[in-house]
Amino acid sequence: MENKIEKTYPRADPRKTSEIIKVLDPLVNEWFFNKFKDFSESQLYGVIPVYERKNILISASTGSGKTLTAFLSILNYLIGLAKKNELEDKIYCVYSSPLKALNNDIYVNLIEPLREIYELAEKKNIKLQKIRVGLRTGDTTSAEKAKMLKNPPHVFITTPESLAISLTTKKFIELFKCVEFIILDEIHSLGNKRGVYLSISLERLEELSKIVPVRIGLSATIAPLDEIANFLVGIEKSCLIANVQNTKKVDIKVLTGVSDLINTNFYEIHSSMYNLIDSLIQQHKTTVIFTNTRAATERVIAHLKEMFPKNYIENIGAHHSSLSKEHRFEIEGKLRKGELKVVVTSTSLELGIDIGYIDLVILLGSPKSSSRALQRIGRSGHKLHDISKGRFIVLDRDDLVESSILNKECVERKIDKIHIPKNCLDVLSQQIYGMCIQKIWDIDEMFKLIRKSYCYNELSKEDFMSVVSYLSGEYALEHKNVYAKIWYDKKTKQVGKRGKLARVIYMTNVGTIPEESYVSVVIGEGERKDNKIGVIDEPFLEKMRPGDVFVLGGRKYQFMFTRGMKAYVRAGIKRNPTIPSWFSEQLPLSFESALEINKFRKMINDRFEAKISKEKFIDFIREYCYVEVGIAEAIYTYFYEQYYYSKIPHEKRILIEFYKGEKNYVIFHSLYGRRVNDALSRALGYLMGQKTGRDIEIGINDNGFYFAGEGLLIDEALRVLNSENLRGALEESIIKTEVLKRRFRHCATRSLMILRNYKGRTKTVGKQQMKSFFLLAALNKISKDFPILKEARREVLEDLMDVDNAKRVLEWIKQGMVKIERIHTKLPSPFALNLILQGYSDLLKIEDKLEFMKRMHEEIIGDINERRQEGIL
Amino acid sequence: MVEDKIKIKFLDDCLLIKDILVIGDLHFGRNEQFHESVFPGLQLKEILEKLDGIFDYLETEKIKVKKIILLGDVKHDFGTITDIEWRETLEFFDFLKKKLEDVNKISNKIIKDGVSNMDLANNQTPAKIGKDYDKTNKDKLKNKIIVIKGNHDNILKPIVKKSGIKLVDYHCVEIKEGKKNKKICFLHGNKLFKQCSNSDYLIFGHLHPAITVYDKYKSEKYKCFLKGKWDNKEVYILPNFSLFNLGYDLRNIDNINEGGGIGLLSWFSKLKGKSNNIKRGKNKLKDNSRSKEEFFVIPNNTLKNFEVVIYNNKWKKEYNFGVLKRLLKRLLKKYG
Repeated sequence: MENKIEKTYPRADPRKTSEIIKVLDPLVNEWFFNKFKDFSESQLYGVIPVYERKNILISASTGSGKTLTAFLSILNYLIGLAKKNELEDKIYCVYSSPLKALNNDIYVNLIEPLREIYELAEKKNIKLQKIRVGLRTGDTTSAEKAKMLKNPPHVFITTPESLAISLTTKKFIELFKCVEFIILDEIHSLGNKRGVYLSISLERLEELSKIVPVRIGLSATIAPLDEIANFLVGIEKSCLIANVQNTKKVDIKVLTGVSDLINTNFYEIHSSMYNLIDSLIQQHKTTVIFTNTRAATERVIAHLKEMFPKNYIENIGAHHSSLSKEHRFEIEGKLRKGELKVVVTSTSLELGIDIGYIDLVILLGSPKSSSRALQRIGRSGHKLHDISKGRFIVLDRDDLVESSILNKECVERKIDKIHIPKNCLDVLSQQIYGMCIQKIWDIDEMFKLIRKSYCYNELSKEDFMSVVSYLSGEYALEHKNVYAKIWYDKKTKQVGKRGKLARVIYMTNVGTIPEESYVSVVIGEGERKDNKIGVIDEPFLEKMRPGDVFVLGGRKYQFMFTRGMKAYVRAGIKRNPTIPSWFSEQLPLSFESALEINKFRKMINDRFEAKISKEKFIDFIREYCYVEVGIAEAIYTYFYEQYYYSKIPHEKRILIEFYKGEKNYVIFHSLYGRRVNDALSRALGYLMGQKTGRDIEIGINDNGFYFAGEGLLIDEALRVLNSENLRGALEESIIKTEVLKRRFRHCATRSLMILRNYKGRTKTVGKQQMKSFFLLAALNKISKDFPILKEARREVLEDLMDVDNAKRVLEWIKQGMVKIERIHTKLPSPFALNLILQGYSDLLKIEDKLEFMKRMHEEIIGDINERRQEGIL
Repeated sequence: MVEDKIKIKFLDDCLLIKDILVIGDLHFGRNEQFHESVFPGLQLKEILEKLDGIFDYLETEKIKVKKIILLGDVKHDFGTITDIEWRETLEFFDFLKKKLEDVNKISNKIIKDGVSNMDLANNQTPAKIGKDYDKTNKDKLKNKIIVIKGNHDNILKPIVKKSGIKLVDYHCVEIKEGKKNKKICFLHGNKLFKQCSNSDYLIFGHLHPAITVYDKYKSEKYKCFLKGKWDNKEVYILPNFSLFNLGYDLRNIDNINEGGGIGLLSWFSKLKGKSNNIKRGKNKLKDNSRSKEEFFVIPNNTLKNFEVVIYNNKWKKEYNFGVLKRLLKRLLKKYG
């Protein structure tokens, strides 16, 4: 195992109120104490360091006044300048937030204090220069931008994307020449390519500025704080960490609608769950329900309206990312005004959008990680000293155990770790292009600047140069100049942009969030032929093979084929669904929480072996998970069945269950979260397939995975696979997969190989897909080390899967810390049930395309001949 | 009887009819259509390699190609000749010419100039032979490479002219089948011509047929040929010759022609009623007002009765999957 040396940063201490009063301008002090009783906890931690111009990361729960903490010293400074008539026409502070909607919010929250301070100043006859606040997001009009250039805002509020564009605009660059503060809000939501992108923008901003700006990071509860601080300030600088202890009390419970989740029939579970939800809503003023998927969001609303028509008419709403901006704003507005009784959402309300007073959060189904659970529950009782109230409502028995352990982690405040992608070559391409548009660079200086970012600290010169080669058209076989985006002169070692359209191309294609498209579902035959039923998202479509049955809008359809962006289906299907509709949106269980559950399973197993009494057992579960008797009993029963029917897999035991049903199943009970299971199963499946040459069906969830097929040489695969060859096996195994193709499309778009928008023509996702198909085919012929293809592979292995933790698991097996045991069952064990019921996730394509054609030809023609002969006879 | 039939051989994505090599749609420039192409030129390189393979195979089989027919849509862009199209198409034509010359060098001499191999070895200096040969061959080449005009080929003329190659709407040849002469007509596939109505064979491009074969677990798409009967003529439809595009999925066959094809009778009756200049501007306008233009000349329902043939070039073997209609039904029934 590689041991990464992680930086640690000093912790900040809370200061006294009197200390803060001393550094603030009397006017600001007077305003503050007119409005608030005292400084909040995070203000005690943060105001002085910002005043002293120290970099700081403030981690505190939502509603703890973080934003004002960041702004207070800055406002104080600007007011001081304004008093002395010393305000210059430049940007003093850049504030970046991942949410456009949040920016509007902050705008109001910043303007408001300013307005109040100016009112106060007027009363006291103090003359103040005007402090300007400017907002630039994707929605900002060009008139507004022009105005900003004329009268530069002192506080500049923006998103990562708009900041990147500003950094290439000549006139804007002038305004950045002396930035003194940079605030990054909602850092916890930047553990993705957007964050990676922003990390280089920060270094570029600093390079432009004559003074080194102070960096202030604001984050919800998150771990590990040192890594986030590292991300905030980059490689060389120091940083303070203010870990503001959560003073907000939480009141969390795990609930089920019925006591017996297995012997009660589906309809009863269903109706009692909604009865429970309804009664909870009725007992509270305003409730937010979090489901994990958009589809579930709609479903919950429909059911509530149907079952309780009197209770829910105008007072219920949905909020999720595929709804229009207008709709979401409307819902947020209504929430703030207290006009809604309940809002159902997927993940879009997790971030700090101001939604007014919420007194209950319902978590429908496990939120899959403790930090997400806390984040969601924290949306209730938004004011600092309120109690946050959250209720887990569990859907099945795996969910029951998972939610109970998350409940424990929330109570004990165990936070799982964020994953920040590193060395992303697609983001790098976009940034290099942006930098070249900004000015001509010395290649070594450019490399040095990029390596200052935490996300690129370990970037190799080789990878960097391969991106430069790609952008400067060196991979092109001819017509290099036509298609190159930048030029690179090897003699002078300089790089610069190429083409007059460069800036336009950059502006219209900037961004890291892949466009996912929706595919229309259309009836393909019969009376209702060509009727459109609805839409499904593209990743979901990718999972489907002809013949699969799925649910849409409460009805079952069988998938036939696609054409362009339409999926043709057959209606009136009676068979059970083969693909659950939430499939593509499923959140993965965090590795840390998975290990917690494994630990718990071991404790349970030990107690069964020690044969302790049921009463003691229930007491143990109650105390350990902080749950009520009913829940503890349900957990007990679940484990009891598994223990006596099969074996309980746990932190020291991976159980392989062999079960022959409709198909030959080999089920791995390996509870490490689906990201790790995805990696393990694919590598094992690939090794088995190499031997037999046949395709293998794979099913994966957080608790394990299964293989189905003929000739599963599992022992041999297990013997071969180890932590050293895992990565290689995985890289081979994903070559033909849909997921690599899709990720490649995303990477190709991010790296501007595919332009979403060119000369005002927007390319549909379908066209992008086609284009990426050509590119990928070409790449497979030219170079497997092409940087963007390499990045797509990295993304699949490290971001989508979790190859590092999968390596750890293989190490544990090798060292004997985890033992593999086998068992044969006549019926799938209780723990295996959910896994088998969900159907397959993917198929490992091993068989050669030509061999497949030959085999199918034999099958089809063989069939026909047989029938012909029968006919003759 | 059967043995007398004209030999039509599948070869890679081409057809070999006696000594005529027929190549489907190429669409040069398609790959580079948008600004962001990263690997311009790759398509040409791959296509030339593919053709090299075909000619190598022909050589080992001792087959001498005398004529190459391109079934249209050589380049992709409707509106202009892009820089890359111009260059690639020219280079492609030059390559074909060179191949034909190489293959026919000796045989030409024997027939045309009465120079035998023996003479070659004994008397004449190689330089002189070469010169004579070039002169005679240049004129001959005009009829050796024939390009059928496709719907994408609005402005192919300048390139063809430069290469000294013939661009035609259709091309007919007569080949002996038993004792009779049979007429084979080569067309793109978007239009029919009166002169083809009495032919025995029709060879088309344009459609880019491809078939998706699937079972319960997986599905793969293959380029394929379609072969069948239409109006008492034997019809062959070739897959496209380009590399990265497999073609039009025949599962969507119902969508090929909006109205399901306007039918053979109306086509010919329409043609018969007109003069030879049917394709000239004035008449075309009238034509359009009378009936909607269909994508492919053969009606969907007829195509459904065609046989699907996948040719596996690696094993040099053809796989006939039977009648399309039945194949689609069978796949759907068996595998969902």
